[in-house]
Amino acid sequence: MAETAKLVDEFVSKARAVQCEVILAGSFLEACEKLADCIGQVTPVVISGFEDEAMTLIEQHLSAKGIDFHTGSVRDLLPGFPIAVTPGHLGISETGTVIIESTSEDVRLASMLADHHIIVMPSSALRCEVSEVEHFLEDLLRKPSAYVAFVTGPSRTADIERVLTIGVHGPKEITVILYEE
Amino acid sequence: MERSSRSVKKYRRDLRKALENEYLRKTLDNFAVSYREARERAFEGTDFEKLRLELASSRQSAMERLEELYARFKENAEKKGAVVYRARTAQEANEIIHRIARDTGSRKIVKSKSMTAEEIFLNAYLEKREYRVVETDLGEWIIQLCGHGPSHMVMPAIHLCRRDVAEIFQKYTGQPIDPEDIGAMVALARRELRKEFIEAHMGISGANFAIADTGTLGIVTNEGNARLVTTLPPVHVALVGLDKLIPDTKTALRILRLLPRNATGQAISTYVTWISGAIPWKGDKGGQKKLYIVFLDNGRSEIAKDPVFGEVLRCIRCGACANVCPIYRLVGGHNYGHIYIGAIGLILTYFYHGAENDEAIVRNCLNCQACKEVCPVGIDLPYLIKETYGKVLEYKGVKPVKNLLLAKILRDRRLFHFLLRRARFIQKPFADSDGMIRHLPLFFMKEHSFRSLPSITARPFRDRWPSVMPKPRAEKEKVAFFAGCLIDFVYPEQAESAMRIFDRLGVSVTFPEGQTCCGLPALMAAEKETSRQVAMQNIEAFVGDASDCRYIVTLCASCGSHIKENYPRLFASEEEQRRAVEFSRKVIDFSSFVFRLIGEGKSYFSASGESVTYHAPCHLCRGLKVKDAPRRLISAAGYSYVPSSEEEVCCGLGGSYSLEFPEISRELLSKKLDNVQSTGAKYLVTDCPGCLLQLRGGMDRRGNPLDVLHMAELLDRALKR
Repeated sequence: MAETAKLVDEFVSKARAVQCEVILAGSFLEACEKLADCIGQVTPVVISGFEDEAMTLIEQHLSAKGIDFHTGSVRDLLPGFPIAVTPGHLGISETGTVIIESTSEDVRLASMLADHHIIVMPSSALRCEVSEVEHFLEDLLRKPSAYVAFVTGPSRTADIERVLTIGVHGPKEITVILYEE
Repeated sequence: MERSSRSVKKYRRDLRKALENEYLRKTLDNFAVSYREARERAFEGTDFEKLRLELASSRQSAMERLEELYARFKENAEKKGAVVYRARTAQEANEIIHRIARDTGSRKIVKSKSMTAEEIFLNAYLEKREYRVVETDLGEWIIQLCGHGPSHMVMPAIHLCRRDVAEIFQKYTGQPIDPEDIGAMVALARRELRKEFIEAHMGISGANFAIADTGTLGIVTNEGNARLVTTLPPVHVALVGLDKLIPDTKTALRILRLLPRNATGQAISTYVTWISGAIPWKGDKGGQKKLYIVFLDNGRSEIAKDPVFGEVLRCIRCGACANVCPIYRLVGGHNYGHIYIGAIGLILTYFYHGAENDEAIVRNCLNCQACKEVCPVGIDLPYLIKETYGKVLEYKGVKPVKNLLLAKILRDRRLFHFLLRRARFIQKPFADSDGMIRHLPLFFMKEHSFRSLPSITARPFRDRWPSVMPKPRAEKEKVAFFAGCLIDFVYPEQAESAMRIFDRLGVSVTFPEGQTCCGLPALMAAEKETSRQVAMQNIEAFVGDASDCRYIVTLCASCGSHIKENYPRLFASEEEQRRAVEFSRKVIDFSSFVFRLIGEGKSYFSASGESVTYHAPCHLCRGLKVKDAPRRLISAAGYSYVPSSEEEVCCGLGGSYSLEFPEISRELLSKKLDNVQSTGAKYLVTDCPGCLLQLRGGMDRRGNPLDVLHMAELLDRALKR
């Protein structure tokens, strides 16, 4: 448990250093609450990539707060939308990175086109260093088709006069809701 | 964007123009400093040397198995629905991509950044055939709109200021743009380019690596455009150099440990995208995305087999070699490369774009080793730049006069020394009473007058030797002394100081008369045979009474570094190589030797407390990797060491570089002297007579606010008699 706590602290510190907001929650249910708070009144909201069980819980929570979300193909919402919510499958504390298995086009578009991308991830998914994700990554890449994304903070550029600007083609804001399993 | 080749004359004109570009100078200056700091922070707590060795070894072995990796990648990728092509030439690659666009009915194309695509001039090829190609990386889009080429591998638009960008966007949108609102300009790019992503029929990307084991492409980015390029359109074409092939995920993660840190000082880039096989696509044609992977050879498979140049294929395109280059810092990427920029660009241009396009730029290298120090895959860039220069000379078939003279004269030691002694008389009319030459005759152009020059001595060190030979009362150590041309014929008094110190410290010295020029000038002119011959002369000279010495001490860091690093690789036969290794192993620089002998031992010196600042010769701090000893010696000798800014940046001499590119040499010297003067120190000390020549010459032009001394002179001054 102390191990996880250390990993969480390191992750939080590194993520914040790259303009990634991290919210801690004691349980998945609490995470759903925090998620609802994050979303507030903003619409439309895209939710993609969760397992059925998790999805049901999220649906319940958001409906209870009067928050509805887009259910069809994400392509319907081109060119973009304010909020997307996806799971994070693995995290790297050393760099504040979230790994998202993104073979589904909906998950990809959700994580690419939203202005604000919210990631819900269990703290048990945290690993210490980049080298530790080798096997997880390799297993994914051995599948017949795969698109895996390492995401570390919101999109950025320094191409104009080396001035750092957050939010170019990808999300302008990233929030990770890290919950204890 | 096509580039035309440049003669050396035109190149020098371009360089002069670039030096006058105030905005560029300031931007690159700021960048050089902040990059260094960011990189240091990024590597804190990690062992860069260890990471580098691991990655170098991974990349080297991958290059040696190129064909095997290609076959495995192709097999795995095709199993997953990708179509894999291999283009032998740039032309072929363009044709293949054109065919794909035609067969898939793709008229509108979006691109994410790819140096490989720049290499083959893909955009021009497609645009000529009426395809609409839109760059989506912000920097690349900006330069596409204004028709410039990239001036850096990672920050292509660094040469443009915000006003330039605002003007470009204004022209594009027809709306007024506030040049101070960079956020708004980026937001504009986001809006405009999103439309392009959505309407595109095809996305073209590069790849940072291609994993053979799983047929996976890896793309390292920050903006998110590569993600959209590879997701929104129904067709994805990836253009990948053969040298991007690696065996497994493990190697990919090794690359990731170094690439972002070295490129931009980030621990990791915002996005790392792993694409394996044809992925789902739900646009109106439905089903699966079409994935085409085009591997580009364009000479890579030949380079892979080359025993000398093979290692350039390890390059992971981090851009660090440009980031730390003192010349790049002055003139920018349009003048420090052709398509590929930086030290690696000087080499690759010969192979990918031909000798005519490399002939001017390949000369523009100081051999300061800054690039080699940061290369994450251990490519010996300075050495290979000189090798490339040799190939360019071969191609031209005509050698510069300098080379012909070097070859004729250097190989014959007696002739060489005879001419040096005679040269004194030619110089005499131009020298002032203190021996300095401050007014060159009219036919020397005024670009060269930024420093005064020393004159050849009346009595070279070898003539003085019998009377200055140390005779210590108690012999602690016996060393052999390698003088080198500058010490022997221009600064013999520095060697005399060294002898007085040896005498005091109990060191007896032997000075083999048969020694000659170390040969570095010949190697720098790509005269390898001459260089080899003088090297053997030196090795032979030190056989005999020097063979029982543990050390061969030199006052010249350039000679020392050349002997240590290059002598072993000048020879082909095993026997000669063995002798070269044995010889070079003994070589040690003066500062390291003295420090080794006395440690912090202050008893030999009277503490004056005078302030001294230090210039680190490139060949000492990076060549011989000696950084500590000289600085600690300054304190050990009773002086007060005052650090100056950027001590390890080149003084601008670069051997004969300052004769070929005097404008650059002058700028580097000027910056160095400004930094030195702001310390307010009394003395500037250095441990290389070459640097000393440059620094003293420049200081003299400034009225000598500081005295410039060799370490031997500094120590001699404080020596208790």
